[in-house]
Amino acid sequence: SNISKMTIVIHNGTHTTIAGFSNRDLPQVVCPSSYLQRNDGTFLFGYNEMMLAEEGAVYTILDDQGVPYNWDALAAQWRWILEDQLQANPEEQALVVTVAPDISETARTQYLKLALETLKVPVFQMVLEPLAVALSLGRNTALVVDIGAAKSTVTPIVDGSVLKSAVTRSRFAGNFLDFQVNELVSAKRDASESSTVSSLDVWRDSASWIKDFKAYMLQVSPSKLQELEAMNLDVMGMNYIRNFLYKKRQTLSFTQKECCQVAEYLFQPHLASSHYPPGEGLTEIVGTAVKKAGASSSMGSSTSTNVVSPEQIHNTLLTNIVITGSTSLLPGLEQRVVNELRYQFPQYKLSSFANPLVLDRKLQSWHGGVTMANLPSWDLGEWTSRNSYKQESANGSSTK
Amino acid sequence: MAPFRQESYFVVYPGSQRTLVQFGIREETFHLPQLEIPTEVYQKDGKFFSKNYDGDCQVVKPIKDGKIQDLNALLFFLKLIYRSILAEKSGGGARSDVFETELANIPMLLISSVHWTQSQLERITQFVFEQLQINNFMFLPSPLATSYALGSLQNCIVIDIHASGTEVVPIMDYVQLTHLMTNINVGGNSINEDLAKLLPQWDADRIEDLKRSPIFEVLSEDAKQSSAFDFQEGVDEGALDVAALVTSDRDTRELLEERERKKAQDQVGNAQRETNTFTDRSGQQVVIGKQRFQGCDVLIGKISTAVGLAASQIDDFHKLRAMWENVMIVGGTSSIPGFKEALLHRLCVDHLVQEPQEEKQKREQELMSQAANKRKTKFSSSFVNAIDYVQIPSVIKIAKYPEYFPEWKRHGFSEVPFLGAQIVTKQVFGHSNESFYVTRDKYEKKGPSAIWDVTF
Repeated sequence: SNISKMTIVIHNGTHTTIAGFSNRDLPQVVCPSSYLQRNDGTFLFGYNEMMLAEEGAVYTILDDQGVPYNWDALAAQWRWILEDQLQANPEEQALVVTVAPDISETARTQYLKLALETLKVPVFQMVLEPLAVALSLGRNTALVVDIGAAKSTVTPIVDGSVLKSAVTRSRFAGNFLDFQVNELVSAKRDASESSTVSSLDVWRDSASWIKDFKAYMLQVSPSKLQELEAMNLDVMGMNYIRNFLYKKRQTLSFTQKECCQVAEYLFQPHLASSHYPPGEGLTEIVGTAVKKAGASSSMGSSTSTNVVSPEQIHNTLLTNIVITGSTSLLPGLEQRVVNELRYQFPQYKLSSFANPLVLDRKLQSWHGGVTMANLPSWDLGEWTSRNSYKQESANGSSTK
Repeated sequence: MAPFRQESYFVVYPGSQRTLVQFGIREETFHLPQLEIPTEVYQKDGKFFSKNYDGDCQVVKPIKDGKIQDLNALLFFLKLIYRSILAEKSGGGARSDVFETELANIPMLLISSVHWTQSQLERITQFVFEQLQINNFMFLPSPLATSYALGSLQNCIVIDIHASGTEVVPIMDYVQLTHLMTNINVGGNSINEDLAKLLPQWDADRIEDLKRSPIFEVLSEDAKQSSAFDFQEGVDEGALDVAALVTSDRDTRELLEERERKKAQDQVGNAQRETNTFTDRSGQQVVIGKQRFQGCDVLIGKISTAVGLAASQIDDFHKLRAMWENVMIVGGTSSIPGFKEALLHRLCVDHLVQEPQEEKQKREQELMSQAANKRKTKFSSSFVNAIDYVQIPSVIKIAKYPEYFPEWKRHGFSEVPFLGAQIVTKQVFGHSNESFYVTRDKYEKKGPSAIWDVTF
């Protein structure tokens, strides 16, 4: 009735969690989506806290699909965010969270339970992350290509609905690059250095020098590396040498080619190892999503009055490519995706958008959630109130 | 709304220890705050008082290390300040005409801390409009205020050292990135704690007096070398640092001469004296030795780590480069002579991306032996080229403090957010654009949350 329109929005990415009030331009909390469990069993959240911790093991909360599997930890994290960081009372606070585009009914039930039963928030809404991103950019039709940490996800959205059956995913994203960078650097650094073993060390490496290496060294070539080589085209200056100061103690030099090679694995993972199947490269899963979307529309719309052909779907998606996710910030990535799609879909016009500001792209999913939280009327969002949830679960149990 | 009278600008900077207040900004230049009031009120039976009337009230400090401990006490304290200003300006109500001039329309700027929560900020807004009946109001977060004091820096890092906490806040494109700030739970008090270990026979007051005395100083690495004390064990002070001569690109003879000059001109400075004296609060002259240069290392080390953590979360490298070149340090501790320089030195040691010494020496030896093989006669360019790294920072600098505010320059810049606030009031209240502050109109429409539509 008299609930303040102020809402808290939480985005749990596979790497980073972002949270804040929906009436602010910037979030108040940006923290890892993983947490540290101290030897005494207590949890520790927050980037600085985890960087400075002396002992403990690091665990994740979300699985490789971006769906929580560790619900107790998620509850603890949300509490820490709401009560400790934002100093808000969950029982008086509307809450919006972003969720995976093809979230299962089981996960949906778990989310409702966590928000409305465990935390007792008065009203709660789950928004589909790619849909929120598209709508916050003023598009109700889009092909959202999200390259995050644990996964790359491609979500076709037509007229404000996610085509769930056409969502495609691969595990070739940021974390995979972390592993590849570590392999490359291990081969060059002092052999005497013992390899890191604890989960805390691995997490810190990934949050410190590996993150820097990805940001400063990696580059995506405009087309397949082997094709450039076959044509004897050296547009990238492949022999150019760049120096990386490893952990402040060793200078490691890499050629541009080595740096491009690592980024190339996103597009051709089978080059990294024969264990990785071909056909799961980034542009391939984008193409698959477009084709699946076309196919699904021709089936679904057969009964509808306004018949949409697969070609129309292809066309509308390919002119509305939205590239997001932290790993998408690799220089040259957007151009490469467009170049390869042009090759796959020569008959279509292509148009892509990727937010040019680093900070904005990193916060894009949270901003998407904020847009959904701030719709001019409560009726426009799919809110579930605690009262109706209680009634429903009471009815549900009585019918059993 | 026409611009306001400058004589009515009302600026308040509530700190953990003291609150700085100014009513009326002068035309020509910026002056030091008129009032400096201890941030405390008295409480008895749940009620607040300005004085300890019956002698049995409890002292309440509303703010600790920037955080609001008792919001009601802070609100009472703000009301107290506002009322006394109204009373003073109106001669206790006798000169009613000032309510039509100076006191007719008071725009208020309150410097806020990054620790103040969403609901606290809204409660304060509500209080200002409903209890104080002020019609135009804005918050200015203290890191932003600092950046405006130093010539509106677009990208910078602000370090604010409190008594038992320190916060490091990055500012990018004039936007304060509160979500990337790093807090540590050590501040200026850690110096007292470390001094207490070195001076176990001293009480807390005398240690505080030493810390605040002009002879308490953090020595630079150079000063440590030339001081009367041996700060580094195992270093023979008489010995020439050959490596320094070789790696420096200055002429060897010049360096040797400078060494001699330095030796000759010692005696005078605090750093060269074995003991020095200061006067404590009871008026006693106290003699103190080496300890007057100690106690800051732990704090400086922890702050440096915190700055590294905050910077490591900035992914925009162009802006990160500029941030490292504009590091700002505020809070009373920063006014200890040599503190800023020592912190800068530590930041460079910890974070500067430069070639590891071992590698550099190895390269130099290789080059020298190559050169020696080639040409035995001539000692040609034996200096190796510096290595270029992809990473940042390759330069770290303390932001330049403004020279053109003579009063502030004399006073020191540990309270520089207040200067920033003065500058901002002129930009914001001296303008017909109302978008940076909450007006009565906006407040009536939206209530306390109107504050989020106007952030500066």
